[in-house]
Amino acid sequence: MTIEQAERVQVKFYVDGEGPTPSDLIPVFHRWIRDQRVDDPTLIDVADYTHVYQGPGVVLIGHGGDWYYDLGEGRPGMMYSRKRHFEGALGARLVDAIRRAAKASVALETDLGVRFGSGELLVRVPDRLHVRNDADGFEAFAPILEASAREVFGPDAVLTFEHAGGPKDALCARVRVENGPSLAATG
Amino acid sequence: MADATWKDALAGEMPEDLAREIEVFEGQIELKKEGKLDDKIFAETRLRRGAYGQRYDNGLRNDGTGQQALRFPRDLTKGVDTVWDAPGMQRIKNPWGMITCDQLDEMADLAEEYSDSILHITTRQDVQLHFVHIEDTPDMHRRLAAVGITTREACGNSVRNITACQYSGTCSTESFDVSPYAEAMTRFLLGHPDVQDFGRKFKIAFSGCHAEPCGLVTFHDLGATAKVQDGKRGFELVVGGGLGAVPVEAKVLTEFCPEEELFPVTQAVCRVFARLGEKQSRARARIKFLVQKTGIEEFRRLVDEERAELRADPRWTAFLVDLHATDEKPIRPAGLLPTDAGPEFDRWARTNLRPQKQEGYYVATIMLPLGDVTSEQSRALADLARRTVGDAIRSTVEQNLVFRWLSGADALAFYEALKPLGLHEHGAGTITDVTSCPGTDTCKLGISASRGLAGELRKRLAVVQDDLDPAVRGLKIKASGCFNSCSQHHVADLGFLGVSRTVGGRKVPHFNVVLGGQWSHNAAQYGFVVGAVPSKNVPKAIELITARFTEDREGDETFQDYVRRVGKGAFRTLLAPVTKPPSYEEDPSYYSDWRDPREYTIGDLGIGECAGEIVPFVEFGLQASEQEQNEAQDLLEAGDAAGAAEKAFQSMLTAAQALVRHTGQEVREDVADIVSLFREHLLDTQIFWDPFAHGKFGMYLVALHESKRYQGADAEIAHRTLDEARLFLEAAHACYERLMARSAQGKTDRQTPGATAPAE
Repeated sequence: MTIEQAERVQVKFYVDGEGPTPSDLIPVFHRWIRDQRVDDPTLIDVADYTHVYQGPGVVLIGHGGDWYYDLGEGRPGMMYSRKRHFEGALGARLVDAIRRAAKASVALETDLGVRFGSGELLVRVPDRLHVRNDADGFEAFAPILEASAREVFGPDAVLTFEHAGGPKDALCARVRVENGPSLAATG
Repeated sequence: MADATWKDALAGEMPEDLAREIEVFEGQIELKKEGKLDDKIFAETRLRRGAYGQRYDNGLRNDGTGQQALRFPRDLTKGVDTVWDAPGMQRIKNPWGMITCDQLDEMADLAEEYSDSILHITTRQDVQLHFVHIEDTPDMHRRLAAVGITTREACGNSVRNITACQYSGTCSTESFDVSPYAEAMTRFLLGHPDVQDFGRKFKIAFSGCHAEPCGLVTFHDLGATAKVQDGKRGFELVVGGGLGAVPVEAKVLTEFCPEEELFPVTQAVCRVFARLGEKQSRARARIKFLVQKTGIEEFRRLVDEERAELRADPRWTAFLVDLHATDEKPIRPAGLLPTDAGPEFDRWARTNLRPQKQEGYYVATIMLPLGDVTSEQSRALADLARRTVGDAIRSTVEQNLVFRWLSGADALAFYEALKPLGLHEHGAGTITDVTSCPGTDTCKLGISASRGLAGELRKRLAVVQDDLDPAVRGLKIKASGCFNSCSQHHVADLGFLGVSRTVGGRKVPHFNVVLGGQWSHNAAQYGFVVGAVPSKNVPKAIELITARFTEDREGDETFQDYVRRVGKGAFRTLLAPVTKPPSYEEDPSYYSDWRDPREYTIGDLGIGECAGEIVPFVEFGLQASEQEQNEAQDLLEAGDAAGAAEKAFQSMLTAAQALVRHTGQEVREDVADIVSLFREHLLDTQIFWDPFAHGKFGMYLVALHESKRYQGADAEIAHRTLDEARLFLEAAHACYERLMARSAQGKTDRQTPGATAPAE
């Protein structure tokens, strides 16, 4: 398995506090499509999964990636999921995904008054062909993730990385950021 | 380093035939990308692999201010007016609803990697993944194949998923377990030549008994209800049922079909349907129209006649030697339910546990809101199944999952294990267990937001369900986004189907209210429409109807009896106050649908792919033949002359077989049979006849078969064989064109009963 070939990456920033009622995101995402608020030339639709327990919440479906107001883990957050058509190395994909997730979080802060924390993010690589969520997978992934996170959060940030999830999950890491830039500066 | 692929990673783990089919499909995707395949052919090809279209895949979407073009990156199509890069849906067949733990794990991973982490259970026991890219589908199919699932014929004009009661084998009212019959029939009909040339889809359902609704045979194209007569197993067969805009109850084909006759009679039904069913007008192409046209007596005669002419097939009865092949073994000892588990558990157990006929075991229903379950929940459920019931999970037509063989002694721990997954909701089979089709969320035909409505009703009813009158609590609600009845609203107590109305020059989403359908007794009675109400007034309409039912009910009167007693007029009067929406100025919320803030429009309606594209089976055969010739060329260039010659000969057989079948002959997967029938019906009759070369190209096949020259061929012979194969295929195309032209002139090229002239 070659982790560098992994195509799909997901990055989630968590809401600080309770967060909005998930269904409030539906009109916001429809507006984002109309106004091209996030960076994907092909924004397609909004999928509502608010009826599902700790599920994908509300999803803005794009061609290259999707934006989730994700309810997973019981902790709402903004997740960007890169699906396809991205040139470059995995590290570059991660940098791009972190920035897009941060940018969408900031946009949501503006639109709904919600607040996101910049001190923690979840990173997943749902690409089991190229990497599994085991010790070897994390060992291969950690330096790539560290370099990407360093590029985004800058030299002064204190970064810690934690292997997360179970053996059946997609490769998953939790990143904690101290002394990092604001989300607005990140995106 | 070369890219890793699922094809390599799963080599040896997939059944060879499935691996081969998927590779062919992947090849067709490449051909389509290169512009070498026709849109209609490719659309039917992907549909037959379960890769379906989805709303907005024509590249247009109304954003609430007007219709906008979606800027997909490539100017490619995957069907007529269907954009290549537009997300689609992958349907996954679970024959008779059966799902193993490994299969659930795999589907969860697929949903997470290629879709949006949601598995959607349909009303025909399938699983659907939405927002999938067509280029991801071959790998998805490979991963499914590695756990024993094929998506073949999940859509298109073919035999769809064969459904069966989720309680089969555990139910105290069943005559016998129908699972092994449903499983064997699935295998028998999958890819069977006699089911490839339908004008529309064909749905089969099995039921273990008449009394319970689980099989719902009466609205299927073919329904089989288990029956024991004089100590012998068999089935009552009904045919020609269907829902749709005008529901039709299936007619009895035979009151008792012995088990050994089940497959040949089914095969005969399929052959009659393929031969005489409507092909041009999709709206009238389901078998119900054929049965209506011929009458059941004549249809029965045609089936009997067809049955008499069938050549015996050992598969008709081979499965009968082991009717325990599908049996599940409990992995935990039987036990009693706890008596002191508390009211919360008791409430759940009352609606979500059903005692099995095997003492000490239960079938547990896990309610899935709108049929949705996340990847994470699915993986946890698979683990829970491994600990408690083993591979005994089934999907249901009410969009839930059941775990069978749950020991009563484990029930409380099972319930507790569902809590952290948020799947411990009680009320299975009651008014809160609302069924819904995808509607405008993802379906190209959706008119109203059935999922939005269903979600809203679930939310509201969950709050009040324990205070409802028991007679109301037991009612069933089903919502369809249009008249196509995918939620099966005709057999719900309270059914809804999406319609549109214009008020003050603006469109307003509405639902027609259908009352009094009967779910029990295999869906024995359909409801009637009492009128349309604005979508936003449906909850109020339900309140009015159920309140009046509670007040006026006489004794133990059922809702169906009540509805028929008071009649349509009473309901129209009752609902009159909620049938008219306020003006836009008074309340614009009526002009948007549930959970969709855009101003309502029906401008996003597309052309459904439900029916599949109508492409004659012979064209698939000729296409496959061409593919084999390309592969033969590849083998030749790779230095495998013998392999190339064998493949070239195979390509001729494939084309010949397709043409022979097109003339109405039953032809086996047997070289001698194909060549013999080809000679008799196409060559000797001078149908396969070139104006200049006469029978020369046809004789290539006959000569190769007789000489076996293709075996162990060297490069020279391989070249020659490949050249001959190409000429043969050209002649086959020309032959097919002539047959089509003859058909257009009114001559039949099929030997249909009652037809006067077989092919000349």
